[in-house]
Amino acid sequence: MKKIVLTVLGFVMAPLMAIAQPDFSGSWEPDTDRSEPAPSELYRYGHRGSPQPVPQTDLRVEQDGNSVSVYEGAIDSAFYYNNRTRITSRYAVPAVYIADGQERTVTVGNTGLTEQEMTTSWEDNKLVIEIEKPWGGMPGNVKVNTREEWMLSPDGDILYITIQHNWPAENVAYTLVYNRQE
Amino acid sequence: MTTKKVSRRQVFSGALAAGAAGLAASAMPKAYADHHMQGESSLPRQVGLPNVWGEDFLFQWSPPENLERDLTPGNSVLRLSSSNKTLRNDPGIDYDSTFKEWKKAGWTACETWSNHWLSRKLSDSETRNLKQSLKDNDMVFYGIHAAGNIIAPGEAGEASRRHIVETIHAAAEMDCKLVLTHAGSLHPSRDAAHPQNWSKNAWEQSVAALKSICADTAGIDVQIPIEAVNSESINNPWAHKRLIEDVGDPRIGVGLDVTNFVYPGFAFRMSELLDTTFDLLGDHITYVHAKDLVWDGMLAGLNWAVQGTGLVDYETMLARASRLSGPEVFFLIEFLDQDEKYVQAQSNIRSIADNIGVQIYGTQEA
Repeated sequence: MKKIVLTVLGFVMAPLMAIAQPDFSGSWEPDTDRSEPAPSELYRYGHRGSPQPVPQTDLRVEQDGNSVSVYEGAIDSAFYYNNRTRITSRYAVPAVYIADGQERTVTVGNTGLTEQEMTTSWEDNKLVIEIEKPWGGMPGNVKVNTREEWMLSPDGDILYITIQHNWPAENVAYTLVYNRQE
Repeated sequence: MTTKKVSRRQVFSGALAAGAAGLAASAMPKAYADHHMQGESSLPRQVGLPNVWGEDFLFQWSPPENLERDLTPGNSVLRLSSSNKTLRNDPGIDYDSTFKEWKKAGWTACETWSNHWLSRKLSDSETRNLKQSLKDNDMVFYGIHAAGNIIAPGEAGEASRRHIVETIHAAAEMDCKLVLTHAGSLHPSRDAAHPQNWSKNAWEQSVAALKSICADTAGIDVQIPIEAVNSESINNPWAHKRLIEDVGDPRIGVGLDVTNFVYPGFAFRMSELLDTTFDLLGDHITYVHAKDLVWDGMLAGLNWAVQGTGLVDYETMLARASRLSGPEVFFLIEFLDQDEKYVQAQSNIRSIADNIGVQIYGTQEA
């Protein structure tokens, strides 16, 4: 009888466990060996020679149910331009995602001058963030559609963020990998 | 156009309109009089965009909040050309194949450089062949960008003026619409600034040089747009307007390259700078250079960017260009360092134009 109950419970709980929302809370350090370079400098600069990958910063995530706040570490630009990325402990204003599937119009954070359309939702065990925004956040920029998929390893210690940029010139995809700190 | 606080100047202006119309100009505060005269005269008397953050606030470099832009498309169709697809006149060029390739890539117009073009004169049969290939492929060879520095010290200035006169004759032979040139620098190199470039002397030299070029090419139906550049004696739309008036030849126009006007105070006010430029210069704008920039360094810190990704408001630029009166406006995409970036830049510009209903001729197939 006990075996039967456990089996039934197993059948009932398995799908629930499978769709349980992952908790991304914590501090995350870039795993640059396993991350793919984000190639946006190629698209940004017209007269700068060979493209440089965009440096990957550390993350701090605070999650409360469907609300996910992401703090990105700042980059010391002087080191960046010497091709030596230095991550500092300074954090910018967080990006806040509400994973309820609703489309929201929010001000583009890096300029405060334009708006972007953003939808965040759960798909299976992934947090999916879809954004349409002017490329550099300036009026009159070309539009870029970005889809980010956030996923944890089974033990919860590795964060994978797969990013797809679709813009008129090209579609680009890459994956960033982070290791949990603490 | 913008939401901003009413300044003391505006209050004063309103009071004048209400009942003090008879106040003599000499009795006005100087700042008000300058502003007022700027409004009534066809000639600008000040350089710069209006204050955004009130008269008493130190900085006016950030754009207005809630800037409203008029992106209504016009009827003019834009034709794109590329600075990595300039027309050459070396012997044996298969123009028909060249133009087919360019057109397939979305480039439906072209230009060339004067030094190259004048280095070899095409034979009559080569000229006929080129013109026929242009016609067969619906490609427009609209202009020649003239080298030289018309106010360079010594013989170099005179040589440049002669060179431009020769270029205008060569352009006429090819039925080109325009020869683009520059107001020049007192430094021997046109792209190097000289401390006296914005003196009365430099202004008068630029005006005299252009008058001389116009006189030597009188009767030739080729437009002579001037490209203002930061380092040269003409480096903003207000000066451009004055230059057109001072030279007084209807062929003198504008080769608009708004990135050449940019200093840090304008960098984040490009929508306003574009609108002001089109308001001031309107149909004097003969054609347009499409570039973009970002600000990412300490010393002025402006760097070129792929078109559509930087600070230039391409929606405003494309909408305003399409509202010029000509049936076609030529757009040169330039200042990129890799061929693939030209492809990306064109994709961006076509996408932005499509979103706001501006027509760009041809299609980008490859």
